[in-house]
Amino acid sequence: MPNISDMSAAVSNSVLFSTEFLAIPAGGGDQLVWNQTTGEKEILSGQDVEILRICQRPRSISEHLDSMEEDWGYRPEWSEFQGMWQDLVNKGWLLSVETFQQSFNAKAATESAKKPVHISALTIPMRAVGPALVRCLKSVEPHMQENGRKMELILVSEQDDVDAAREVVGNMTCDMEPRWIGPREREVFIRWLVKETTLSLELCAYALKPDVPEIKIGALRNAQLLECVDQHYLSTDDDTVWDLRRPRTSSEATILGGFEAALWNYEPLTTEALNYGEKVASNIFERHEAFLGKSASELIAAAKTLKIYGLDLTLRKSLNNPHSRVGMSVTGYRGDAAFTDFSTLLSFPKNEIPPWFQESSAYQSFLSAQEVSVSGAGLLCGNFCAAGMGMALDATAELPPFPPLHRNEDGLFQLFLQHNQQRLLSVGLPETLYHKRQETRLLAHTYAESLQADPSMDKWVSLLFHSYQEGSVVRDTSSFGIWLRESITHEPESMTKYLVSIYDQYIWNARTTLSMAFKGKQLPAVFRSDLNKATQILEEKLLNSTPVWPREFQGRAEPLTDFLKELCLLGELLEKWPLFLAAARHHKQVGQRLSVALR
Amino acid sequence: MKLEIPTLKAFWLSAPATLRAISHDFIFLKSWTGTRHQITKVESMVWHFFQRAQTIQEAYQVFAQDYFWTQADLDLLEPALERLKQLGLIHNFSTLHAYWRTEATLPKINECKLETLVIPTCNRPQALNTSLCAWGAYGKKWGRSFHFIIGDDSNLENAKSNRSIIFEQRKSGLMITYFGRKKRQRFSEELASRAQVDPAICNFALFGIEGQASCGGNRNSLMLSCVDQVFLSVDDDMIPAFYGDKKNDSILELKDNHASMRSTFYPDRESLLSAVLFEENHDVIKSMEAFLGQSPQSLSLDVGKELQLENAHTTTLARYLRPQAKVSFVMASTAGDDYVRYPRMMDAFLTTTKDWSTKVQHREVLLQFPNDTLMPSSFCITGFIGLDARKRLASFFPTLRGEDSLFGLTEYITNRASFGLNLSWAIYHSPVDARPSYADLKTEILKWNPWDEPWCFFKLALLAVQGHASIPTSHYALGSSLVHLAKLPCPDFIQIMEEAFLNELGEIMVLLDYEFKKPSTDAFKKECLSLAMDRLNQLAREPMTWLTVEIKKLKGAEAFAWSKECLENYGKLLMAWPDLWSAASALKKSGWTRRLLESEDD
Repeated sequence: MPNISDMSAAVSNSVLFSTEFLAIPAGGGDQLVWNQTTGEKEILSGQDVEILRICQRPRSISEHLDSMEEDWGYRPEWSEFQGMWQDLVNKGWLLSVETFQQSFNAKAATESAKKPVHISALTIPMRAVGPALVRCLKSVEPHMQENGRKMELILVSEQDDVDAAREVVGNMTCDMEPRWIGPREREVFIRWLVKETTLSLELCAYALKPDVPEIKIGALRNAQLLECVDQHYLSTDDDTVWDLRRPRTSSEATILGGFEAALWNYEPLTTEALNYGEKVASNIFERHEAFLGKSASELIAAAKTLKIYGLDLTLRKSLNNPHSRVGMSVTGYRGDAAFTDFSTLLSFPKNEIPPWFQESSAYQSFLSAQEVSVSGAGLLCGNFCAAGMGMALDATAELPPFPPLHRNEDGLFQLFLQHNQQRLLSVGLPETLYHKRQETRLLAHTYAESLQADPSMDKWVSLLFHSYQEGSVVRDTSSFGIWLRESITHEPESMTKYLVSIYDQYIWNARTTLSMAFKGKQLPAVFRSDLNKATQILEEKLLNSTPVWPREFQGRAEPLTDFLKELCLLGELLEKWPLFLAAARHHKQVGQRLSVALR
Repeated sequence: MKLEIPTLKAFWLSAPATLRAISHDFIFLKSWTGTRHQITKVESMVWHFFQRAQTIQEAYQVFAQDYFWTQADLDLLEPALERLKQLGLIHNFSTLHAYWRTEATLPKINECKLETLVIPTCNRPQALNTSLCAWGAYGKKWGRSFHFIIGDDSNLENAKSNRSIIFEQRKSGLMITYFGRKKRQRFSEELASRAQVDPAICNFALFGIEGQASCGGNRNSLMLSCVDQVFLSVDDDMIPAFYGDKKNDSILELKDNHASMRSTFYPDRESLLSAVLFEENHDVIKSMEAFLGQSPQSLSLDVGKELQLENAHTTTLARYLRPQAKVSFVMASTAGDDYVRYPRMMDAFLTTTKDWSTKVQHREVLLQFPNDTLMPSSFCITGFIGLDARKRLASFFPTLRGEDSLFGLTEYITNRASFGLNLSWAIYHSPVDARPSYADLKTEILKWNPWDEPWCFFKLALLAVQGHASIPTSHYALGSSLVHLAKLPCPDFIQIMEEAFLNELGEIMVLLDYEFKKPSTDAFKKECLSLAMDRLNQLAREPMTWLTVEIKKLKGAEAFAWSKECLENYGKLLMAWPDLWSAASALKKSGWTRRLLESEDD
């Protein structure tokens, strides 16, 4: 039985958060509240439920009072609330971070020791073999040479440049077993899939080798996933340099949260990105292996400082599932921004406007910044992590496919992963790798692009996925695929109208974000002027009655038809991906490989 | 400015659109046709207000009393309405009519003739005999020569009696085809083979759970034998005597749901029959034929029905305006024994009349719509229904009761252009078996459980997975979601069902609480409402109320596993349904179905 007086002190000082709940009217202003974690139900007053709602984001009473003061213009007495909050803590509706962590400490103590995870392959997808790959591999070598580590290096290229690859790996000094997946190898595998399974040639080609002029990096990533099925592997991009650094802005805390942009530190850099942050001596493979396969209890119990940003029901389920394990670990990056959606930078918590929006000089620096640093605000632990230039994956689990798109295929993969596999947790590391692209862009350009340019295919898929999730309780990737395909074939006109409404919603949200993020704030005049221009652009878009389709399809004879066709194919891929995985396992079991040896 | 409207009492209804506003400084409406308009704050408020069809008089009252508009503000109301009308963002009967008239004319649907009359029956030879005699006489009177198809789900003994009855009735000149379990089995095997569907799923569709009678399975068999045509389905206890008024036939109400259905309860059959005088000079089937397969546009322009919009919602208007909108089925309500097996508790509590408690005490009832009423297909509870199977319809739910309710709901989810029409006529419902009477009012409240019947479990599951409201979900997608739900680990499955159940319970609670707080509610009704809310709170806290009383009784400890298994089969049936329908159509075109039905009786 907890000591009530101790708890009283805890209530006054602690950050508290509500357990996941559903409240329905119970008559007379009361609410019947269902604790979705324990299954218990209780009738609570409307005021109690309001506190539970407020505490869905962890907060303390004083923060609550601050917020009330801001919203209502007066500050209620502390004593008015303390009793209610205390009561909710006593009844288990409000939890402190400490109580939460203690429950996981107990679980961790009873768990049996697990077999250590060993990353057995490093994969690199690329446009073509070139100087970037040479630079990347050179930075990888020191990490390989430690502790006599041996593993496969799997190069997956869009081009049939196997000879160039042979030359590059021939110069490597570390002990890796280089292998190669080029267009020919993928074609062979596609033919095998079509022969041995019920999958169609069109679908297999879409998944692994779309017949289009532009590169579809997702298809390369699918090839590496199928090649590494039942293994743990680490994928890095060829424009990445393995120079691990930790930005000073990151904390030592372990932070629990779902998909929250605010969990990541986005910093426009005015100094050179290469040397930004303190160099970390860790071996990257070991750094990932330290987390892969860990249970939620192990991670939480090991946290010296635990912070909870937000726990939705899906994440709570993953954390409470005794079989949950970390299936993905990603690093942050510094260098080229790699994102085009400027709204990411506007997703900051209320009253926490980043410094670069507060002063003219800072804003000017921000606009002229060429590079950014994107890293976890601490060790992030949840069921979703933002994309990374280095990600370690547990391919023994049923992972979703990468959408075979030109960009953001990794972000979408992680979005699917979150909902496909509730037993998989992700960690996001506070360390960054250096991301060096040949061409760099000013953030100011990114900002203008995000407003002027129409959304690309990946953005549409993301919008559709989120919209689907709002409407359905069945949220796995395969069901999303079926829904997507069937909605288009069942009633294309309705789907078309729906797509238009999704686009509207997207633009509207951008408009609302601009309007709300800086409401009532003193801002530099130059930034205010930019905001007004941006608002005007968005309003013009909202009033434009001509439907807008992904920019990849614009200029084509029948953009809508092509767009719907690609969505249909993507739907079918998501629906039938389990067949691809099963086939790849069988392929491996009968001693065949998708890749060929380079030596 | 003079507004061109018929009268101030005309109903106005906002056109489907998306309204967007930020702090009143930027407001625009995107109409359902895709055009966008920047509008003023007043216009946005007017559009918002008329999302539920109301009159201008009501608008004046509400804006003055609830929004504290001054006279100067109120003077802006009609100009705002006029601008919205010009932009096509608001409708009344006249503008809707004009809009339809300017639209490209839809291909006219051929007039139909309801000549096939199917009767699903199970172990009630006496009822079947009465029914055949009565419908034979009705046919003679109105010059209709029905082709009867009897879908028999009876046990061996009763099936034998039914065949004797049919033999005798044929002698009297009726054209009757017997469709018993043996023929149905052959039909199932052939369908499964042609559609390449698992025979077990096809059997589930046509027979339900093995060893149990299945009205839904029987109805599915009859419907699949009648694909590509219209047909009439009549329960064996529906007698062709109709109560209504021919004058009501000229008005067609567009509604969101069946809330306008009135119920008048009588202590016994005698009282009902003395109050309800059946109309003998009207062929109700002709009324059904006039509606079946027609679009709202065609009913308004070609058939000349006067449309009434009162209380309709904009979201429903969006369905009416769909080019493919059509009446998929036409029903009559009933006079006689109430077809629901439990007291109409919600009807009683929500009625404003003093005799509210009779709805919980009596089961002899006249159910009636004031006019012919068109509504989205989600409401379908009837024993007398004309169906348009020229295009694919949803399947009936093949297990236990509620097969028609779930048919309506599935049709609603999978086909946003499908409508059901309830005639203002009521057919005489006279079951041969005695139905249980109800206990006293408070006892009934204390044992009230809106989730008594098994179909409620399946309805909750359907609602939980139905997907996004703004686009239709195909049978395949809906079915696969049900299969996925059924296969979820138990804690996840329970979580989803519990959430769907609590949300539904919450909606009921809001209505009861509202009634309770009304100043006009008397002390006794308040006491009963309070008891009812306590009862709901009790149900909310009991474990797995959504598994339904009947399933628990029927399956005991196995109830949970049985429900999941049955849900999975139902999902698989929905996934296979389009293929089964196509196969049934092919079988019919090839003459195979006719040969099967005409083959020697089982």
